[in-house]
Amino acid sequence: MNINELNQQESMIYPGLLNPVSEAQIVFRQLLSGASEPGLMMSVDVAHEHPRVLHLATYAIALTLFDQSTHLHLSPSLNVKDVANSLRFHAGVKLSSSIQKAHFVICNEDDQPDLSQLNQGTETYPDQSCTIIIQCKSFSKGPYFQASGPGIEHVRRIRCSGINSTLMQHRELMRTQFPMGIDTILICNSKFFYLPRTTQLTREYQ
Amino acid sequence: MNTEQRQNLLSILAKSSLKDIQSCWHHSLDDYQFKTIRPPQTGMVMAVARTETTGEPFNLGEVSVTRCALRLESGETGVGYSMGSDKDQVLHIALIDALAQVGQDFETLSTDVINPLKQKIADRQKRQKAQTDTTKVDFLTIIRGEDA
Repeated sequence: MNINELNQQESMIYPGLLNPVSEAQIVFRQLLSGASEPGLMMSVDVAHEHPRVLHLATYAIALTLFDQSTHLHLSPSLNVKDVANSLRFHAGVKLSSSIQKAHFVICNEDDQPDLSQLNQGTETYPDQSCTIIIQCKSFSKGPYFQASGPGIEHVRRIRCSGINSTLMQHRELMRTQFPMGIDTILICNSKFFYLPRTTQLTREYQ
Repeated sequence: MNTEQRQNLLSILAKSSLKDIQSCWHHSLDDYQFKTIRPPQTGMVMAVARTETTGEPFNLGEVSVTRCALRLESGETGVGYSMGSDKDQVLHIALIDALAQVGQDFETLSTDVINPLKQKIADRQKRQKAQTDTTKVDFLTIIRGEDA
Protein backbone atom coordinates (compact mmCIF):
# COMPACT_ATOMS: atom_id res chain seq x y z
CA MET A 1 0.00 0.00 0.00
CA ASN A 2 1.52 3.33 -0.94
CA ILE A 3 1.38 6.60 0.94
CA ASN A 4 -1.49 8.05 -1.05
CA GLU A 5 -3.67 5.09 -0.27
CA LEU A 6 -2.76 5.35 3.40
CA ASN A 7 -3.67 9.02 3.41
CA GLN A 8 -7.02 8.39 1.83
CA GLN A 9 -8.05 5.96 4.54
CA GLU A 10 -10.20 7.36 7.25
CA SER A 11 -7.80 8.41 9.92
CA MET A 12 -7.95 6.99 13.36
CA ILE A 13 -6.66 8.25 16.68
CA TYR A 14 -4.81 5.48 18.46
CA PRO A 15 -4.93 5.12 22.24
CA GLY A 16 -2.19 6.93 24.15
CA LEU A 17 -0.30 5.53 27.10
CA LEU A 18 -2.81 3.70 29.28
CA ASN A 19 -1.11 4.74 32.52
CA PRO A 20 0.45 8.00 31.37
CA VAL A 21 2.51 8.63 34.50
CA SER A 22 3.96 5.20 35.20
CA GLU A 23 4.43 4.16 31.58
CA ALA A 24 6.09 7.43 30.62
CA GLN A 25 8.42 6.97 33.59
CA ILE A 26 9.32 3.45 32.47
CA VAL A 27 10.06 4.61 28.91
CA PHE A 28 12.00 7.65 30.13
CA ARG A 29 14.13 5.47 32.40
CA GLN A 30 14.95 3.24 29.42
CA LEU A 31 15.89 6.29 27.34
CA LEU A 32 18.18 7.60 30.09
CA SER A 33 19.85 4.22 30.50
CA GLY A 34 20.24 3.89 26.76
CA ALA A 35 21.73 7.38 26.45
CA SER A 36 24.20 6.89 29.28
CA GLU A 37 25.34 3.49 28.04
CA PRO A 38 25.25 3.85 24.26
CA GLY A 39 25.12 0.64 22.29
CA LEU A 40 23.17 -1.29 24.93
CA MET A 41 19.98 -2.63 23.45
CA MET A 42 17.06 -1.20 25.40
CA SER A 43 13.49 -2.36 25.37
CA VAL A 44 10.15 -0.62 25.74
CA ASP A 45 8.01 -3.02 27.70
CA VAL A 46 4.60 -1.48 27.38
CA ALA A 47 2.03 -3.45 25.46
CA HIS A 48 0.39 -1.04 23.13
CA GLU A 49 -1.73 -0.42 20.10
CA HIS A 50 0.19 1.89 17.76
CA PRO A 51 -0.20 3.45 14.30
CA ARG A 52 0.74 0.89 11.70
CA VAL A 53 3.67 2.77 10.20
CA LEU A 54 5.25 3.50 13.58
CA HIS A 55 7.10 0.88 15.59
CA LEU A 56 5.97 0.22 19.16
CA ALA A 57 9.02 1.90 20.69
CA THR A 58 8.72 4.91 18.38
CA TYR A 59 5.15 5.54 19.46
CA ALA A 60 5.92 5.05 23.16
CA ILE A 61 9.00 7.32 23.03
CA ALA A 62 7.05 9.95 21.10
CA LEU A 63 4.27 9.95 23.70
CA THR A 64 6.85 10.17 26.47
CA LEU A 65 9.06 12.96 25.12
CA PHE A 66 6.84 15.18 23.01
CA ASP A 67 4.67 18.02 24.25
CA GLN A 68 3.10 21.24 22.98
CA SER A 69 6.47 22.90 22.51
CA THR A 70 7.90 20.11 20.35
CA HIS A 71 8.41 20.63 16.63
CA LEU A 72 8.28 17.30 14.90
CA HIS A 73 9.17 16.49 11.31
CA LEU A 74 7.89 13.25 9.83
CA SER A 75 9.59 11.79 6.79
CA PRO A 76 7.26 11.42 3.77
CA SER A 77 6.61 7.71 4.32
CA LEU A 78 5.49 8.33 7.90
CA ASN A 79 3.58 11.53 7.31
CA VAL A 80 0.16 9.87 7.34
CA LYS A 81 -2.99 10.97 9.12
CA ASP A 82 -2.96 8.18 11.71
CA VAL A 83 0.43 9.26 13.00
CA ALA A 84 -0.17 12.99 12.77
CA ASN A 85 -3.59 12.86 14.43
CA SER A 86 -2.56 10.48 17.19
CA LEU A 87 0.53 12.47 18.16
CA ARG A 88 -1.28 15.78 17.91
CA PHE A 89 -4.13 14.49 20.05
CA HIS A 90 -2.05 12.94 22.84
CA ALA A 91 1.10 15.04 22.88
CA GLY A 92 -0.12 18.28 21.28
CA VAL A 93 2.99 18.17 19.13
CA LYS A 94 3.51 20.72 16.36
CA LEU A 95 4.15 19.09 13.01
CA SER A 96 6.55 21.12 10.96
CA SER A 97 7.31 20.69 7.31
CA SER A 98 10.59 22.51 7.83
CA ILE A 99 13.29 20.06 8.74
CA GLN A 100 15.67 22.78 9.97
CA LYS A 101 13.36 23.83 12.78
CA ALA A 102 12.48 20.34 14.00
CA HIS A 103 13.44 19.20 17.49
CA PHE A 104 12.73 15.61 16.48
CA VAL A 105 12.72 13.88 13.13
CA ILE A 106 11.18 10.44 12.70
CA CYS A 107 12.06 8.45 9.58
CA ASN A 108 12.47 4.96 8.23
CA GLU A 109 15.90 3.53 7.43
CA ASP A 110 15.32 3.82 3.68
CA ASP A 111 13.85 7.30 3.97
CA GLN A 112 16.54 9.18 5.87
CA PRO A 113 16.69 12.95 5.38
CA ASP A 114 19.81 14.97 4.64
CA LEU A 115 21.37 15.00 8.11
CA SER A 116 23.34 18.18 7.54
CA GLN A 117 20.05 20.06 7.22
CA LEU A 118 19.01 19.16 10.75
CA ASN A 119 19.47 21.62 13.58
CA GLN A 120 22.93 20.88 15.01
CA GLY A 121 22.53 23.25 17.97
CA THR A 122 24.91 26.12 18.67
CA GLU A 123 28.20 26.41 20.57
CA THR A 124 26.31 28.05 23.44
CA TYR A 125 23.26 25.78 23.32
CA PRO A 126 24.28 22.40 21.91
CA ASP A 127 21.33 20.88 23.80
CA GLN A 128 18.92 22.56 21.39
CA SER A 129 19.95 20.32 18.53
CA CYS A 130 17.69 17.85 16.78
CA THR A 131 17.27 14.20 17.71
CA ILE A 132 16.64 11.81 14.86
CA ILE A 133 14.63 8.63 15.37
CA ILE A 134 15.33 6.05 12.68
CA GLN A 135 13.05 3.03 12.38
CA CYS A 136 15.11 0.04 11.26
CA LYS A 137 14.08 -3.21 9.68
CA SER A 138 16.29 -5.41 11.79
CA PHE A 139 18.79 -5.57 14.66
CA SER A 140 19.64 -9.18 13.84
CA LYS A 141 20.50 -8.69 10.18
CA GLY A 142 22.80 -6.21 8.51
CA PRO A 143 26.36 -5.13 9.21
CA TYR A 144 28.06 -5.12 12.61
CA PHE A 145 29.38 -1.90 14.11
CA GLN A 146 31.71 -1.21 17.00
CA ALA A 147 30.68 1.60 19.29
CA SER A 148 33.07 3.38 21.58
CA GLY A 149 33.19 6.64 23.50
CA PRO A 150 31.74 8.03 26.75
CA GLY A 151 29.59 5.47 28.58
CA ILE A 152 31.33 2.51 26.95
CA GLU A 153 34.22 0.89 28.79
CA HIS A 154 35.89 -0.81 25.83
CA VAL A 155 33.73 -1.35 22.77
CA ARG A 156 30.19 -2.54 22.25
CA ARG A 157 29.13 -4.42 19.16
CA ILE A 158 25.82 -3.58 17.64
CA ARG A 159 24.13 -4.95 14.56
CA CYS A 160 21.72 -2.80 12.65
CA SER A 161 20.34 -2.67 9.14
CA GLY A 162 19.59 1.05 9.38
CA ILE A 163 23.06 2.59 9.61
CA ASN A 164 23.98 3.66 6.09
CA SER A 165 27.08 5.37 4.78
CA THR A 166 25.48 8.85 4.88
CA LEU A 167 24.79 8.46 8.58
CA MET A 168 28.34 7.23 9.17
CA GLN A 169 29.81 10.16 7.24
CA HIS A 170 27.71 12.64 9.16
CA ARG A 171 28.76 11.10 12.49
CA GLU A 172 32.37 11.44 11.37
CA LEU A 173 31.78 15.10 10.54
CA MET A 174 30.10 15.68 13.91
CA ARG A 175 33.30 14.72 15.71
CA THR A 176 34.91 17.89 14.37
CA GLN A 177 31.94 20.04 15.38
CA PHE A 178 31.60 18.94 18.99
CA PRO A 179 29.69 19.95 21.14
CA MET A 180 27.26 20.55 18.28
CA GLY A 181 25.69 17.58 16.56
CA ILE A 182 22.60 15.41 16.52
CA ASP A 183 21.68 12.43 18.67
CA THR A 184 20.32 9.29 17.08
CA ILE A 185 17.82 6.73 18.31
CA LEU A 186 17.69 3.52 16.26
CA ILE A 187 14.46 1.61 16.71
CA CYS A 188 13.29 -1.84 15.71
CA ASN A 189 9.83 -2.77 17.02
CA SER A 190 10.07 -2.63 20.82
CA LYS A 191 13.90 -2.45 20.95
CA PHE A 192 16.13 0.56 20.56
CA PHE A 193 19.71 1.80 20.63
CA TYR A 194 20.47 5.34 21.75
CA LEU A 195 23.54 6.79 20.08
CA PRO A 196 24.48 10.24 21.41
CA ARG A 197 26.71 12.50 19.31
CA THR A 198 29.75 11.42 21.33
CA THR A 199 29.55 7.75 20.35
CA GLN A 200 32.01 6.71 17.67
CA LEU A 201 30.90 4.03 15.29
CA THR A 202 33.21 1.91 13.15
CA ARG A 203 31.96 -0.65 10.75
CA GLU A 204 33.25 -4.19 11.07
CA TYR A 205 34.32 -5.88 7.85
CA GLN A 206 34.65 -9.63 8.06
CA MET B 1 -24.85 15.96 13.78
CA ASN B 2 -23.12 19.17 12.77
CA THR B 3 -20.53 21.05 14.82
CA GLU B 4 -23.06 23.37 16.42
CA GLN B 5 -25.29 20.47 17.45
CA ARG B 6 -22.29 18.65 18.86
CA GLN B 7 -21.17 21.69 20.85
CA ASN B 8 -24.68 22.02 22.20
CA LEU B 9 -24.83 18.33 23.13
CA LEU B 10 -21.45 18.38 24.88
CA SER B 11 -22.30 21.59 26.69
CA ILE B 12 -25.56 20.20 28.04
CA LEU B 13 -23.99 16.91 29.08
CA ALA B 14 -21.10 18.70 30.80
CA LYS B 15 -23.55 20.67 32.92
CA SER B 16 -25.54 17.58 33.92
CA SER B 17 -24.60 15.31 36.82
CA LEU B 18 -24.14 11.59 36.29
CA LYS B 19 -27.38 10.98 38.18
CA ASP B 20 -29.28 13.26 35.80
CA ILE B 21 -27.70 11.66 32.73
CA GLN B 22 -28.57 8.18 33.96
CA SER B 23 -32.13 9.22 34.71
CA CYS B 24 -32.62 10.08 31.02
CA TRP B 25 -30.32 7.59 29.32
CA HIS B 26 -31.23 4.05 30.34
CA HIS B 27 -28.14 2.18 29.15
CA SER B 28 -24.98 1.19 30.92
CA LEU B 29 -21.40 1.49 29.68
CA ASP B 30 -21.30 -2.31 29.40
CA ASP B 31 -23.97 -2.26 26.70
CA TYR B 32 -21.47 -0.98 24.16
CA GLN B 33 -18.17 -2.13 22.76
CA PHE B 34 -15.60 0.63 22.90
CA LYS B 35 -11.95 1.32 23.53
CA THR B 36 -10.67 4.27 25.54
CA ILE B 37 -8.23 6.35 23.53
CA ARG B 38 -7.58 8.52 26.54
CA PRO B 39 -8.74 6.94 29.79
CA PRO B 40 -10.60 9.32 32.15
CA GLN B 41 -8.11 11.62 33.82
CA THR B 42 -8.51 14.60 36.12
CA GLY B 43 -6.43 17.75 35.90
CA MET B 44 -6.52 21.44 36.66
CA VAL B 45 -7.66 24.20 34.34
CA MET B 46 -7.43 27.93 35.00
CA ALA B 47 -10.90 29.46 35.02
CA VAL B 48 -11.05 32.96 33.55
CA ALA B 49 -13.80 35.36 34.57
CA ARG B 50 -14.92 38.99 34.20
CA THR B 51 -16.59 41.16 36.83
CA GLU B 52 -19.05 42.44 34.22
CA THR B 53 -19.41 42.19 30.47
CA THR B 54 -17.07 45.13 29.92
CA GLY B 55 -14.59 44.14 32.64
CA GLU B 56 -11.09 42.91 32.00
CA PRO B 57 -10.75 39.11 32.15
CA PHE B 58 -8.91 37.86 35.22
CA ASN B 59 -7.88 34.46 36.54
CA LEU B 60 -10.52 33.36 39.00
CA GLY B 61 -8.71 30.24 40.14
CA GLU B 62 -8.05 26.68 39.14
CA VAL B 63 -10.86 24.18 38.79
CA SER B 64 -10.54 20.45 38.41
CA VAL B 65 -11.64 19.12 35.04
CA THR B 66 -12.01 15.48 34.01
CA ARG B 67 -11.73 14.39 30.40
CA CYS B 68 -11.76 11.22 28.36
CA ALA B 69 -11.92 10.03 24.76
CA LEU B 70 -13.10 6.72 23.40
CA ARG B 71 -13.74 4.97 20.11
CA LEU B 72 -16.66 2.68 19.35
CA GLU B 73 -16.15 -0.62 17.56
CA SER B 74 -17.84 0.99 14.57
CA GLY B 75 -15.22 3.75 14.45
CA GLU B 76 -16.90 6.86 15.90
CA THR B 77 -14.76 8.83 18.32
CA GLY B 78 -16.39 10.59 21.26
CA VAL B 79 -14.97 13.01 23.79
CA GLY B 80 -16.16 13.99 27.24
CA TYR B 81 -15.12 16.97 29.35
CA SER B 82 -16.64 18.01 32.62
CA MET B 83 -15.84 20.12 35.65
CA GLY B 84 -15.20 18.03 38.73
CA SER B 85 -13.67 14.62 39.13
CA ASP B 86 -16.45 12.22 38.16
CA LYS B 87 -14.78 9.71 35.83
CA ASP B 88 -17.99 7.78 35.22
CA GLN B 89 -19.71 10.95 34.13
CA VAL B 90 -17.14 11.78 31.45
CA LEU B 91 -17.23 8.18 30.20
CA HIS B 92 -20.98 8.54 29.78
CA ILE B 93 -20.57 11.89 28.03
CA ALA B 94 -17.95 10.54 25.63
CA LEU B 95 -20.04 7.47 24.87
CA ILE B 96 -23.18 9.50 24.17
CA ASP B 97 -21.12 11.88 22.00
CA ALA B 98 -19.82 8.94 19.98
CA LEU B 99 -23.26 7.36 19.64
CA ALA B 100 -24.81 10.65 18.54
CA GLN B 101 -22.55 10.76 15.50
CA VAL B 102 -24.69 8.15 13.81
CA GLY B 103 -27.44 10.13 12.08
CA GLN B 104 -30.65 8.46 13.25
CA ASP B 105 -29.29 7.84 16.75
CA PHE B 106 -28.73 11.55 17.14
CA GLU B 107 -32.44 12.22 16.67
CA THR B 108 -33.37 9.63 19.31
CA LEU B 109 -30.73 10.87 21.75
CA SER B 110 -31.86 14.45 21.22
CA THR B 111 -35.46 13.75 22.19
CA ASP B 112 -34.75 11.18 24.93
CA VAL B 113 -31.66 12.61 26.58
CA ILE B 114 -30.55 16.04 25.47
CA ASN B 115 -33.84 17.92 25.57
CA PRO B 116 -34.91 16.61 29.01
CA LEU B 117 -31.44 17.44 30.37
CA LYS B 118 -31.65 20.91 28.87
CA GLN B 119 -34.97 21.39 30.66
CA LYS B 120 -33.44 20.21 33.95
CA ILE B 121 -30.59 22.69 33.62
CA ALA B 122 -33.02 25.52 32.85
CA ASP B 123 -35.14 24.57 35.88
CA ARG B 124 -32.10 24.47 38.09
CA GLN B 125 -30.93 27.88 36.90
CA LYS B 126 -34.40 29.29 37.41
CA ARG B 127 -34.51 27.94 40.96
CA GLN B 128 -31.09 29.37 41.69
CA LYS B 129 -32.04 32.73 40.25
CA ALA B 130 -35.22 32.85 42.32
CA GLN B 131 -33.20 32.05 45.44
CA THR B 132 -30.62 34.70 44.65
CA ASP B 133 -33.23 37.31 43.80
CA THR B 134 -34.56 37.22 47.38
CA THR B 135 -31.23 38.63 48.55
CA LYS B 136 -31.22 41.46 46.02
CA VAL B 137 -30.74 44.98 47.32
CA ASP B 138 -31.80 47.84 45.09
CA PHE B 139 -29.24 50.54 45.72
CA LEU B 140 -31.18 53.15 43.78
CA THR B 141 -33.75 53.45 46.58
CA ILE B 142 -31.17 54.49 49.15
CA ILE B 143 -31.18 58.26 49.42
CA ARG B 144 -28.22 59.84 51.11
CA GLY B 145 -28.88 62.53 53.67
CA GLU B 146 -27.09 65.39 51.92
CA ASP B 147 -29.12 64.91 48.72
CA ALA B 148 -32.49 65.11 50.45
